[in-house]
Amino acid sequence: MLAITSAVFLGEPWKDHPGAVSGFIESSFNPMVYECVRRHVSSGAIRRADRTAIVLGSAFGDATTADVASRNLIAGKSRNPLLFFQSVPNSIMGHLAREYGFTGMISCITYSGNALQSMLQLAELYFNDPEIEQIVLVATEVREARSEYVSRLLLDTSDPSVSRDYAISIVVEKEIAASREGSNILARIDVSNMPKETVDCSRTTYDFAGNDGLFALVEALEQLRLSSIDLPIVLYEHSRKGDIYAIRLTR
Amino acid sequence: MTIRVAVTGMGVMTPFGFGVEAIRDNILCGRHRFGVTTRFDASRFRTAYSAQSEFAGSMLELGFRCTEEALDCAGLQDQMQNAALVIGISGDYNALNAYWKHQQIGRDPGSGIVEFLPAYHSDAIATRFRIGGPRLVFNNACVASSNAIGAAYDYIVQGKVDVAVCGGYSLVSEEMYAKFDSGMAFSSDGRVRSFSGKRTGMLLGDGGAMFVLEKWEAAIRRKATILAEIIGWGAACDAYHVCQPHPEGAGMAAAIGRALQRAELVQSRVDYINAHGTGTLHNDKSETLAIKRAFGDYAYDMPVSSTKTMTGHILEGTGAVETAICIAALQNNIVPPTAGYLDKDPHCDLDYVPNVPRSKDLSVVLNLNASFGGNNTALLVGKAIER
Repeated sequence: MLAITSAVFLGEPWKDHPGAVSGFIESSFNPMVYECVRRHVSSGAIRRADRTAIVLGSAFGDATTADVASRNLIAGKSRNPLLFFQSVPNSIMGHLAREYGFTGMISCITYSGNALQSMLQLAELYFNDPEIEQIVLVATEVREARSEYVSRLLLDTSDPSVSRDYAISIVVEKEIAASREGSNILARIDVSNMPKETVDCSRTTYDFAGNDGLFALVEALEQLRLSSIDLPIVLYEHSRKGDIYAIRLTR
Repeated sequence: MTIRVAVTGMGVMTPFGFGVEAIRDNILCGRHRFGVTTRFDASRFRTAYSAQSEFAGSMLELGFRCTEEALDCAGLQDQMQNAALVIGISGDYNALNAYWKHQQIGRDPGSGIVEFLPAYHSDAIATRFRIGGPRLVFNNACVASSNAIGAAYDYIVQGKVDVAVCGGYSLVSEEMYAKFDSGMAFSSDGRVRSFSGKRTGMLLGDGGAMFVLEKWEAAIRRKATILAEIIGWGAACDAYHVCQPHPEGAGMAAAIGRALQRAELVQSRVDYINAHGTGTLHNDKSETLAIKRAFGDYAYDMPVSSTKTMTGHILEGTGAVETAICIAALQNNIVPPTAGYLDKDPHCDLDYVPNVPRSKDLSVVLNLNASFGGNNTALLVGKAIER
């Protein structure tokens, strides 16, 4: 059983847009990642940065940086080394690590669908390390026409999928540790009953709405906060490639 | 009971071509593969050199071929339904380049752009080879495929799957070349001279490696040929800088410590280190200090070399390719040299096996990788022997 001890959503319509991050240009990808982690830290949700892992996930990655650099190359324009340095998602993680002292496992992953499942799988692997007490999961996407083009190609649909700038993030920890340390537990995720993922290999299908899982999770947290619901919320029941899994969220 | 993880399948390509024989006949002999880049017009960049292979296919086709060879080697082609697939790649930048070239002239860019998405590669590989278990795709730059092998190891050790296919790959592309050129990272003399006083920088190279990992006992039961053992791994972050390594190698030393701890090995059991060894002053100095910090006086008694001096930097694929080189070194009891070594750098005072390969009985070797953001991985690979 995992406990969620902090949650952040940044997105349109913006209440307060993340500010710039020194050394990162052109793209909102890195400022959003930075802002999510900053809010977790400033809320006191991160107990010890040196015992905290971070997983940064994105289906399309920093499409803005990749596209600006590619268009500049084709146009024969001078190439800004800052775009090189920020062209991999590690760079903003290095910036955050320096500022807050994260010295544990920091990983960047990408997926064609189910962000929540991929992230929780990795979190389960990392929690086996006794040095890891908490894990920050951050999913980020940026608005780019190319991403919409690719979405339409892969989803094989005429329904336009509109990309947008957003970041969504939670802090998870083992429930027993969260209780022992007196963390503010927002909800519990039951992943123990999550069926082993199996994939129907008969065809490749794509679901780039995979971040829905994280959206649903943060929305459910808000429901739990505002209401007196005491029953478990079946947070995410999702059919992907022939498989169905569910995550239960309880107060 | 400790679960041991066997490597029973390997499909590898280096700039010298496919197969472990190409590693044995070139990298273990100290030959480099640098030359003028011909895949695109590199004349407008500060240098034109790279370590290209003769492979003419796409990145995804390279992934397919390495995976196919790994599965053939393991003899498990039809038993992949529950296997995990864990890869470390960047996506194909040629696909991105082609997309924008088409856009620029108002033509339909077609569907090739999907290959720029790393997850498309894992889905396509899983579909083609019917790999039906969980999938993870790491895109954390130069530690991506080491991270992938480490996660695949974790999947097996933690009992989540019985078999995992893992690795990574990369090809020299104009887009990546331009990025490193803008960062003024490239060598000016057409060679990578890691740990050497007269180094001028790094160069890119082609390569990829995919592995089949499974429980040791299961591999023995089915009488599989075990190529090597993954003994343990560790990762740690420098918390120092966006793109420079920690000046004293703190993160890499921590990653080494975690790997040794998980493997329950003392330092003196490590017979050779395949260093990240990019051939930049920052990396070489920091990595040398990390090795000293992690190994103490024993650091001076242990050969350390950079095979990037022969293959170039294979970016997201580098951890996987260097793991394959480590396996070849273990199988042949040969320490690959640091090729192109010219003179001593006062900051780098370990035994870097300059220019000439060395015969040594190898039981355990350590593969180090580092990336932007201060990420570091340490992967311990052992000879395929009963312990």
